[in-house]
Amino acid sequence: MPIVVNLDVMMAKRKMSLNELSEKVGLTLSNLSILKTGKAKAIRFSTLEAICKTLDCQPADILEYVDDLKK
Amino acid sequence: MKIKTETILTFSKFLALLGGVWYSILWGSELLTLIASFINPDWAKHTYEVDLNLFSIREHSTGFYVYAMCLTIAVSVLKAIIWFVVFDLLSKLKLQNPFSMEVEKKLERIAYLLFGVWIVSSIFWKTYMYYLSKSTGIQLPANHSGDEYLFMAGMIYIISQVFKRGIEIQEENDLTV
Repeated sequence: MPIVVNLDVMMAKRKMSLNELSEKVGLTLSNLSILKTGKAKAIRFSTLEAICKTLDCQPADILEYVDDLKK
Repeated sequence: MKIKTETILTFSKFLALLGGVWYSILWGSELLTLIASFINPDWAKHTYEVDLNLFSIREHSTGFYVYAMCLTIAVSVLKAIIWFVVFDLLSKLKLQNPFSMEVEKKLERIAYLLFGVWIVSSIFWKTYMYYLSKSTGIQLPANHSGDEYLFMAGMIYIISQVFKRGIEIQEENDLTV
């Protein structure tokens, strides 16, 4: 999929664990894991908003478009 | 309500197994008839098919007789496989989560098998009857057209595609965070 989720990078920058983020965002660990591993098919605006608020970042810091052909 | 559905499912499973066993016995007996008719041509009178006495064809030409028997056996084998796939599908069907790729694949397989039955029982059989009457003058009773199998194959294929789309939507919903 050409959309890459850089959640682990942002988490590392903010020195936040998956458990901590899960508690603060209000998402289950399994759902966060789906998002982190790039298995997610869609993300709700409310989820994105909560993650950005917790990690103090922009949506572009988490989501990135990578062209499969140019890779 | 739940118990009722489960009871129907169990009953259907039993019926599917019964159908599979019945058609297996049928094709086995047809194969036996074919083999036995080489020893004693009188056996060609007993094909276990309604209105299908192939003795006159056996008397006229062995090639035509073997071809007719092979078609009859092929249809019975395909029908037996279909019943066993239906049994397998019903065994794997979970009422709590019926939309699975496994069930969809089995539905698609049933559609292809039904299409195969239509090809054998309709196209091959009709062509055979045409050449038989043309070269030997023997007319076989046309017991059915076999077109219903094409209709069933089409319907089940459409259902399988709807099923497939349902699974995709469910998967998408499950992977939305």
